[in-house]
Amino acid sequence: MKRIYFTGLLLIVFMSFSRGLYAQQEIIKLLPDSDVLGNWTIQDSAETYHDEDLYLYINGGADVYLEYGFEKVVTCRYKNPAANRIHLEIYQMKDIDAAYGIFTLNSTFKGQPMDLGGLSYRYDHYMDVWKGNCFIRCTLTRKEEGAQDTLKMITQSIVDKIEIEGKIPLIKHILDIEGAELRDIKYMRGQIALNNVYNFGHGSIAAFDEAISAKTGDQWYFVFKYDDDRNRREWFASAKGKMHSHRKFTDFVAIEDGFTVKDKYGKTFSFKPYRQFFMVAIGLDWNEAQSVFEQMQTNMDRLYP
Amino acid sequence: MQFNAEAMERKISRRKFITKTSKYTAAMAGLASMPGMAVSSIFEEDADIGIVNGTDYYSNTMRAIELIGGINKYVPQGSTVGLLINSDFEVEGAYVNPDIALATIQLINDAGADSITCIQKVKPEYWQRSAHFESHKKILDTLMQVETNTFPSEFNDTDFIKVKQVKGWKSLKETEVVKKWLECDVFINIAISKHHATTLMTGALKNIMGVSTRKANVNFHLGSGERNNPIYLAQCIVDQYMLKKTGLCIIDSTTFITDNGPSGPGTLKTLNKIVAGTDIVAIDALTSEYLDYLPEEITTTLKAHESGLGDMDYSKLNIVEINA
Repeated sequence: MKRIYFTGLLLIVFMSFSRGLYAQQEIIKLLPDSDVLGNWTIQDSAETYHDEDLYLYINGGADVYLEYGFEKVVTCRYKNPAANRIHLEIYQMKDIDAAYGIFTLNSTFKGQPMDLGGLSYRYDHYMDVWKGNCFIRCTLTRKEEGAQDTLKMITQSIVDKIEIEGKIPLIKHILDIEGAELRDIKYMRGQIALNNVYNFGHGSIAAFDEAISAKTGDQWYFVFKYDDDRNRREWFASAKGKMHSHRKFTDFVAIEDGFTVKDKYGKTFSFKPYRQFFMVAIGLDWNEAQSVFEQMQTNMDRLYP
Repeated sequence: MQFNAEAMERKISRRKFITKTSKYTAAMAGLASMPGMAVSSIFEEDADIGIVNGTDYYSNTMRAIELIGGINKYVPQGSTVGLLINSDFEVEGAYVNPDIALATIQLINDAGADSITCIQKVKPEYWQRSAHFESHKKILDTLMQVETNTFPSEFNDTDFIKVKQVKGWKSLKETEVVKKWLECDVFINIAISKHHATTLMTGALKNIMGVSTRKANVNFHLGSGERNNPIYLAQCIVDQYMLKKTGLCIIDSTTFITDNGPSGPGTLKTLNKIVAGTDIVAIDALTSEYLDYLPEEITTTLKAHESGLGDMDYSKLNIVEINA
């Protein structure tokens, strides 16, 4: 019996190792081929980090990748004869939504949209791309004529190799509000990501399954989704209590089934629950927020029948 | 030690704080830039915390230190100085402005320190970002560095020491820290007040993770058995801080990221403030407000206060703020 148990254990270990090795080879295959690189050559050999080894790669900030669901990253540095460098990172996340989330979290208003992958932005000296379950960042050490084209060719070649096509998480479409030009869209899966976007006060809003936020004009919307209506009720009540007593917010008013508070700048935060969701509209008082909430609720009913 | 947020609020509303500091601001407007005039000489007593507002970060760092009594108060002649600079990031607002570090090094040198050692390796390109780089090359050549304490640092017997089961520790069981950090006569902590996704803010206390190996730091994140337990992480930082008192702390609150920290890129906020003092708990409490946090929201600050390592009720201190 002991021998069977031991053999079984060995088999599991071997299978895990083989799967890891296979996966590692697969992600390395996403790196650009030499014909794409032109006069750029590999400076250091590619490195791969799995799971919690990410702490050995990212100096501060690994936590949020792990919260979203991180699987592995392959990283490689290239140099050209002018001693310029390109740093390429391909993060393979556990699922498509996680890759979309980490892409949105890293995006800033300075990005220029590109027609590459599922979504992509070009910045002053780097490019971010989301495709399928991958988030790609390609960074140039210093500006150089033609180098941006190389970045684009490199990222394009990676995008072409990623077979998985990804759809934007359903929850994002709750914010499809007529006439609203959304910017700074962030998809979140936990407290660390939320801390990156806005601090509602320690522990005020917690334990959500997923969340989405976006700005439009002077307003900012958040939608938090819970497992079910019961869970949502429990956490909404907790948020209501905590925000009522939080020193950071004033002018708490309970209205119907929702509530409002103000921050130190006098900005109103309106909170309203609906089914397994709750919505937050910042910069709108309760009455003004109702039309936004109604559109969100219509979208919730349509997307989550 | 219990922190009473309401009492602190009563004692130091924003308006009161500005009133308290404005007389100094007015006095300094004419005097601070006068040649040969020591900033501290116009005050009856040294400030506990000095804050200087303005865009000349190099000179303002010197002024901030002058407000709290001048460098000679903190760096005796012939002393060995350990310097921890939050320098190892690439995006503006994620690292200490090098002008601030250079000004501090110049002062330490002028004070007649025997040696200055960077506890964590500072890469040459960091210094090159400063407009003062060329004029400080000679001093920089004399700097010593713990070369092996660079991300992701690994333990070695020459540079690191294992520390176990220290009395007063609440979470930490063992850590691996730079020997020179423990051995130096004066420890100077130069940090930036910026966003951090897990601890909300990286300030002086969080910067202390720069003296330990990666293995030790990963244990701060994972050692509780629950990944990224913020309370365990904060208490580990505080426990490690207990090993060495900060002799002087300078905080860069000039331009800093307010989200997507600690590495950015993120939303930049510019306040052009340089803060100097010795109570890093009070300084972290004060500068957390620059990021729109309440002091008690920053778990490292709260835990350090509870452990008696400083006072987050900074209203008890003599704070002098000037416009340069």
